[in-house]
Amino acid sequence: MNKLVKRLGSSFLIIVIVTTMTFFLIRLMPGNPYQVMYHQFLMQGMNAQQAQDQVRSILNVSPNQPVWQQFIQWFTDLLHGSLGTSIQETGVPVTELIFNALPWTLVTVSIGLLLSFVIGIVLGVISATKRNSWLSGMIDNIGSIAHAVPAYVTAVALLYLFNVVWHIFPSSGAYGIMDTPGLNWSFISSFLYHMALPVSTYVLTGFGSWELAMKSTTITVINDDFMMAARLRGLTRQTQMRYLGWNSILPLFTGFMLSLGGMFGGSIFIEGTYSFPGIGALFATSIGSRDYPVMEGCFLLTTTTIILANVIADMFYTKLDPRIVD
Amino acid sequence: MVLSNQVSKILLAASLAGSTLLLFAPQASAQSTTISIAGGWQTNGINNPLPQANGNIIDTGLSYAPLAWYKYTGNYDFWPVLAKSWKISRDGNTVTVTINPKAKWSNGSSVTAQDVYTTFEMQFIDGNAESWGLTGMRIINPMTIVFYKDPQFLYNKSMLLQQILNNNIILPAKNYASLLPSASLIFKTVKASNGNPKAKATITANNVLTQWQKKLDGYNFQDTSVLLYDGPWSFVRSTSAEELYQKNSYYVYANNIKAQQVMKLNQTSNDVTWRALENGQVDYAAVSFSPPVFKTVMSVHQNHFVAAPQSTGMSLLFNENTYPFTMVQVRQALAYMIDRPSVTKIGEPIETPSVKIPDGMTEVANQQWLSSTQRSSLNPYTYNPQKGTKLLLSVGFKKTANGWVMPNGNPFTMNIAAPTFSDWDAGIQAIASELTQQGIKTNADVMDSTIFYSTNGAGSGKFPVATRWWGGWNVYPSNTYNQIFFIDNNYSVSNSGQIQKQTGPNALNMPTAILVPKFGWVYPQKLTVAIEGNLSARAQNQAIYQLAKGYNYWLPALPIWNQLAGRTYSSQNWSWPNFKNDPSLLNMFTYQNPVVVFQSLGLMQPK
Repeated sequence: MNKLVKRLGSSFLIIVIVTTMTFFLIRLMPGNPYQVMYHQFLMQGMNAQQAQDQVRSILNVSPNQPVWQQFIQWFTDLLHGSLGTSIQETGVPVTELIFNALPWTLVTVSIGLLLSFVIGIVLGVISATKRNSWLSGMIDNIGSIAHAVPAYVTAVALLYLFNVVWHIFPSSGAYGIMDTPGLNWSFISSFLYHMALPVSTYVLTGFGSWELAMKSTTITVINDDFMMAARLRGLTRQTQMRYLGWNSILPLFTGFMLSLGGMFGGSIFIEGTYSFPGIGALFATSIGSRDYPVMEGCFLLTTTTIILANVIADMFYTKLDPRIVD
Repeated sequence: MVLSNQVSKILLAASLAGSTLLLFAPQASAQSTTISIAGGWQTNGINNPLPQANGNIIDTGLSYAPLAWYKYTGNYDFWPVLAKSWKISRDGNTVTVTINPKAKWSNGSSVTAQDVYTTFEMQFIDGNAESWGLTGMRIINPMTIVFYKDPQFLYNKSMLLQQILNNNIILPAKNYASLLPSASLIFKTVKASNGNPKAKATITANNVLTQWQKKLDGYNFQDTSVLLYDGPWSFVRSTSAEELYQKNSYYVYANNIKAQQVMKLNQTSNDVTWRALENGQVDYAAVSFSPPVFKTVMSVHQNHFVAAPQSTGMSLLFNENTYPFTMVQVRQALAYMIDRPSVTKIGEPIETPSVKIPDGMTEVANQQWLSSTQRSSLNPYTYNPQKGTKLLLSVGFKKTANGWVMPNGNPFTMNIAAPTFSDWDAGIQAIASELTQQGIKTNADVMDSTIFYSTNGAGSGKFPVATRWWGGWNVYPSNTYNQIFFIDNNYSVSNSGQIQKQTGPNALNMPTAILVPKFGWVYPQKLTVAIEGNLSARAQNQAIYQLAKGYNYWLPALPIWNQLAGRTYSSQNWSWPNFKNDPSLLNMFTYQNPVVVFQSLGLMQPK
């Protein structure tokens, strides 16, 4: 229990450090929404004082306020549970934007992640057990290529083939305009139909790395003494495979947990390509408009979930693999 | 073998999953009376009445209507929409508008003078109404309203009518009146905000106004069913990809509207619309193209391209604080040495015209405001490097084996600053290459557009040469000359027309009087102020001609090309009017959503 508290305490510290760093780092990006808006008002004929008042009124911050003061204000708000309001979507709380986008990302990315993980694991085991055959070579090559091709290339290629050439899947959105979101078949079917291409992209770009990692760990495990003992003891093939699969998959567990944490960040490229209203698209839009509060909110979400996923992975790993001492 | 069987099973399962997914595919529900559009125009008025966090964005141009649509032609004509008639007083200081009794909201109630009053109260709060010189309004009867303009304020009749009738969609008092303070408080605060900028009362009034403005601009109606619409289509719902609108049967031109629904594609990026056009899913789109995509799109689904006139484009602004751009001959030499048609072909390869006469006005405006004799008296600066060379030599430049040397002994080099707009980037790269070949070592200094504009862009006076929008976004030339002779030159004019030099950044440092050889003195600021006011047709023509002449000689900026409004329409599902020979219809592609105007006028029929 003490260990858990210590771990959570150190995680909190890391989150504070990372978010503080990102707060200052994003302000080093070229461009500044306050100055851009301030100059726009000047160009509209306002005098400097009027323009400054206007920006302060709209953004709730002075254009010339020092960054450290902005940080103190932001951090105080954060401690009170507020991530501020969006610059681009005037007046809309960042938490509202994030919670509106989050479900779309979580559903698609978790399905994509699970499918790519399962496919990668199965293909990795097949490739390892048949490692001198043509099948192993083919699986490895496909896995390597799928892993190497950037997500946005895969997304555009799928879109071109399945939307422009074959007219099978829609090009954008999370559901049809005629459907009302809710627990009704029309909406659910429309959502499944619309998410086919984004999920396929996650699967295609994700399974390769799992397959290659799984193959590598399976080959290591296959030559372990306990596997040889199992063979010599004449255990059934099914039992041997269970031993092999369970022990090979363990090293991938941490990676999987980190991916679960990372999925809260969505994918800027995939969601952007398919106009999918998730966290990745929100993040991309906020970067484009230098919407600092939204960017900070997205960073905070991703950082927190990855760090917490790491903690959970560490805690569970000792339970899953008794060889690891707690 | 066992493994092959397993693989086969996996493949079979995958195929089954894919087939099942396809079964989810909703059946195509497109109706013959649905029109699909992408990109386009949003009328000025409100920010967004819907909860934006839910991804809802309303195209106010589809759901709300103005009092009238301006045709943007020389005869100052309008098509009436919600207004039945209007009258501007002889002195141009009062405008009386009578609402069409047939104009209704989407619940069947009448559009009244109170709705117009509420709409313009919001324009006062936003500070817009004062910029047109409005001082107040009065409701004469439920269907008639009078607008009052400050007699001291310089603003011509045509511009004032355009602002009142065309530029503002009329919003429902039922939705917005409760968000506003009382009328007397609004006008009292507006008046106080115009006092001495340093006075405490003025600052307080401005703060109050900005708070009201913030509330209005950011207000989201959580229950969208309460929203009333006076435009042709009422907003129904939206997703991240598209918006749906349903015909408003109470719309004043409802009988002419043939599209029962409008499906609007959310153009998150150009390629979203390109794909939809390639798939034949869009009837009208406002999107630009790369040449290969353009060719593909135009070859399918009866897609056609319209290059509608637009009052803007790219120019090079010369900072006359910086040597050698202090010399008019240098600016003129550069005008001769830059091959504008070639540069345009590179920057804007699809149907964009280069500037024929660099006088600050677009070709459409030139045709409209100047006679052929006047136009022919202007210098077109046709590409002629020899003339450029001659001009440079005449002011002491020397051409050496290493390029041009300035009279002060330094090499003549140029740095052209520009934001990362792909067309501008390509254009100035071409200019840089052209000038470098002619011995003026030129560098294209392309920077992130946020950085460029965060330093106030070309208007900052920080760059010796920078790219700049020109043309004023309006066919009437007061905007374009106001931009160059006032804003960039850091002058201001008081409401009563007093010209004042401001302190602060100055991108031009132009004189207040220019001696044009064989023509005489031209006073750019005075003339710009004059054309803002109400002049006789003859005096207006003379003032505009003098401004054109002064600009054409002095060349404070060199306009390179005239940006066109590139629009795509498909005649696959709808017949379109013959707009090519009708400038007023063609202008709608630039200034309005043509689908709204053409359907309202009964000019579009389903096929």
